[in-house]
Amino acid sequence: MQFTNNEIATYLYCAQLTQTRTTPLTILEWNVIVKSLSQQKLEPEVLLTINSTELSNTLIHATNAQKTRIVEKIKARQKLGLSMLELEEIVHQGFGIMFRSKMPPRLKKLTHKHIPAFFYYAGDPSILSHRAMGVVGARSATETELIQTTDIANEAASHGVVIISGGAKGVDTTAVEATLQNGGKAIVFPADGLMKWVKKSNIRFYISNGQLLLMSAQRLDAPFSGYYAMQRNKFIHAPSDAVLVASSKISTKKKSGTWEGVAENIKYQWSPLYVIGNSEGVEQLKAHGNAEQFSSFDKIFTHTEPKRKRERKEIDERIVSLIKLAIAKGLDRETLEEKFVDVSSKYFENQKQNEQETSQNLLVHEQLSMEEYMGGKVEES
Amino acid sequence: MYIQSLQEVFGPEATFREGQNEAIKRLLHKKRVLVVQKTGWGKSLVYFLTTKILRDKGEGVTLIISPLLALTRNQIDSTRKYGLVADCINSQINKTLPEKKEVIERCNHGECDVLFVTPEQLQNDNFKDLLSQLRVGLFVVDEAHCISDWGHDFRPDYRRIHQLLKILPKNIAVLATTATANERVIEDVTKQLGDCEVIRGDLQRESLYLHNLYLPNAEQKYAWIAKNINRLQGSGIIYATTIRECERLAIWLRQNAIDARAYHGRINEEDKIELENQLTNNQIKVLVSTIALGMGYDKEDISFVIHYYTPKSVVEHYQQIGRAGRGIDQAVCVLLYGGEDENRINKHFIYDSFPKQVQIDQVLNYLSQNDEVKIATLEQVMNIKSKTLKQILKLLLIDGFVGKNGSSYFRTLKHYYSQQKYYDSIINLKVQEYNELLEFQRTKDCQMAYLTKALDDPNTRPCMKCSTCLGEAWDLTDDYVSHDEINRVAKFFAENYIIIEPRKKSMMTNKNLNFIYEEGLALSFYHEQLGQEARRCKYEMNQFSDLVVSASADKLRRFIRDKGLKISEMIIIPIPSNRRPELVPQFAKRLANRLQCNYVNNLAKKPNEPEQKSLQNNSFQEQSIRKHLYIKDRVNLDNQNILLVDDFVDSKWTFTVAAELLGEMYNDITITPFALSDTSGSD
Repeated sequence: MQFTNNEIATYLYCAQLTQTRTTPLTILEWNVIVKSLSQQKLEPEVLLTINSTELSNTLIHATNAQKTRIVEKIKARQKLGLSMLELEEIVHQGFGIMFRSKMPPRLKKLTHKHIPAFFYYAGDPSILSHRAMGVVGARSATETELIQTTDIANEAASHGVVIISGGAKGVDTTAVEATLQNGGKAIVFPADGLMKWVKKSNIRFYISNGQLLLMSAQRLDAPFSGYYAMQRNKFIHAPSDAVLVASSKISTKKKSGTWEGVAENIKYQWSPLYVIGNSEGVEQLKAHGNAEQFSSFDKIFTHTEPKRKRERKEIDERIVSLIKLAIAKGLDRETLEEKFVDVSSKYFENQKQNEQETSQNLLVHEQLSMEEYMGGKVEES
Repeated sequence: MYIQSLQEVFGPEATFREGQNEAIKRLLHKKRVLVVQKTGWGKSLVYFLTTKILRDKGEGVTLIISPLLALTRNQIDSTRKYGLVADCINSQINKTLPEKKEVIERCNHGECDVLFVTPEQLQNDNFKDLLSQLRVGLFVVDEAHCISDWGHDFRPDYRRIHQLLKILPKNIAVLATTATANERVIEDVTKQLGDCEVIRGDLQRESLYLHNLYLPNAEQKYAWIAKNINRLQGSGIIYATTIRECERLAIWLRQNAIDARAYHGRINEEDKIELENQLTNNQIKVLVSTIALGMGYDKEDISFVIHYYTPKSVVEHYQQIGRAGRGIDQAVCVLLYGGEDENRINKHFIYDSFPKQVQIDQVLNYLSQNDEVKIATLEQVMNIKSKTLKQILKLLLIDGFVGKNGSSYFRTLKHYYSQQKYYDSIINLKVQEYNELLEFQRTKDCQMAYLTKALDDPNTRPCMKCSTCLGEAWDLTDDYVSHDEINRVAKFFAENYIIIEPRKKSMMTNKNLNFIYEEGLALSFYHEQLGQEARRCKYEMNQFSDLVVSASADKLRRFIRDKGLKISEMIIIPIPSNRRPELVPQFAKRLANRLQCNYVNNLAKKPNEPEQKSLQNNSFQEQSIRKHLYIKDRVNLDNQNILLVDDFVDSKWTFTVAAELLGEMYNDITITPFALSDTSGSD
């Protein structure tokens, strides 16, 4: 794996690197840096050499408090280039690092406020390009719920649908194991570091078979963390085309991980929810109209198909009506054809120019392109 | 422009050598530089002066990756001239993590400017975590030819540095230095460094007087050395192959009233420092050393380097003689060569330098099918020599195919592709290089020119100093050795004991053995004349010659007497073999006759024992012997002193198990093993 200077700088300042006894930049701090740099046509690699004053002047999008923190953090790590020994070791053992520029659109459904500067991964990242269904559920799911989950996960394999899960005991593991055993594919975002996972021979088997992808924003040897477990819920809900809730409690004083993840999904409208069983959470989701009963994969994944067909038909109809209008206004066929070519070529020329501008501003494109997926709405930090 | 800094250190007259200023300038601009210059050009000046300037600017420390401990100590001293403080971290000096941690902290607090680290330290995870806290301005790879697979000194530890160089951020300057890189190695190192400048100079060493001398056996070589050492001015180094050879040669020289000391890996660190100091101060005449003393040992006036050891390539030879004549006008370098066995053994080691693919596959398959596996488990389930198993694991670890966690190993995600072609290409290269060395031994060309040409030095020219250039006029050594001189050595060899040390623990149970034999005796090393005689007798004649019997009897008489026992009161017991049922018992009987002691043949082996050679590791060997060896006749041997006799000894398991069987059966006995040849380490 080769890295660009930008990627090396990103890793140096954003990775946990606990062994250095320094603090990484938060996602929000990193976003501020990237935005500020790009507006001055600079790239992250300057962070390797820039001095504190220059940096402070460069950070035009940062609040004063942020500036102080960022300058301190950058200063603390600037001379610790040797800590990249860690990155070398990671690559050496066959793990991958996915920086934002390489993240597929699916992951960018997360707002940039939530998207880490990079993911560690093990396995074939192209699994991310398939249709995917998230599966979430309480550890305490009933036997019936687990059996039903197994059936659905088995079926996912034959429908070419990838299962995304959090790798916890119970529903998560049941779904992933079932689909893998049936020749299907799965993506797991575990709540602990990836190292422990790949030491298991069956995990390595599915990875080398191209069936399993593990992803994590945490360092490889991270222990289980309740905090991260909550954070990683969004990695399951956002990239999925649909999410199956197999069983859920409702958060009280004691928070339920499944429920919190589902609530976040409803808030951000990441993906439609489907349910099975009759746990209290599931009942409430149905009652409030936030989820549908799971019936079949055809229903979930084909109802997007007719929609696309409908849209196509609509466009065709509108073009036909425009042509009718033009003829009614007295344009002959030749002029009409010329006009058509003219207008469309002008349109694409414009777009090309836009593209050039964007590529000049490659960095923003790389780092912040998820804005496009949020309809250009940049969330303020 | 940096002349001012130079003169601050070396006085107002000081000037740079060609290339030094250039190198410093590039480094201060955080560029990467490869310096290929001969010993004595001043490579260390480049990194020390650069460090001084960087430190004055408030930059981080200089980290120097350097392979040997001797170099580290020596250069630490020379940094003082620059007003720099140097320290080092290696497996010898600061073993514990807190000790290492303290060094790192001193670096970060400005109390230390230059840190030397051995490459194998970079394999240690805990240490890597510590290094991650180190603020570094300049990264130096010394002996940088080691990062190239095509370098003459292939070291797996360096392969990780290659990968690290790709990831190291550009705000750290990188300097690679070597005196021994040919075109191919330079090209390879340059590629690994990325965008880098090469600073390269003339490799001919004006002060060295080279001499290659054919002496076909150990006796002649010993005699020549004893005769010539005192003819040579000053003090110097003799390189020998093994630790035992160093010890024996040093004893021989001391018997000849020459102040010689052995220096090798088994000598403790304090004694090493003491020996180096004594050599530096000319308090001893000669250090007889394995190649542990080498790279960068920085005595200005080493007056001679004698090779009893056969270098593996001309480049290695060039590097080793490079220790001599740094600050003096004349130093003599003699390469003693000859002996067919020597070449056979050397080539065997070259061909055997990598494990076999089937064994690698065996280890990988087992690891693939399991989660984490302890090394002890691997040894038990796999019939692979434990040295080979460790080598396999090390290579797999370095290539990232397995990971390590304490004493457990696990398969990583990295897809394995056979390394056989790669290993073969390295072995082929080594064989080529060794053949080149054999050619060099006999060359009729200028010896120095031969060496610099091998390093693709464009300025190669005849030196007019070596024994080829001078021909009859060469008078620095007296190469005639008389019969008397050779006989004295033969006598010395005969009187020197090769000890068979007892094993104390069972490998199967890891518990102490119930009975342990006394220190035993081997008649010869396998590669010596007597060892080869024994081999011929066993495999070609199936009977040991009178020469072997009488040599054994002579040596045993003295050995047993020195132990305070009476040989005539000993009982000789042969080690049985189903493959050659008569060979050892016949020999033992003749030996008993000669020594006038008793002979009892009461050990036997059950049939179908696998050949020892096919059992690759300790665990398997012990297990097999325990399964097959037994006592057949219960003659009473209480209160006896027993001499256990076998032909060859290697793993010592046969002696160990036999002794334990006898010791458990009889009361108050002692057992002393005797073998014709110690074959350990020679395969």
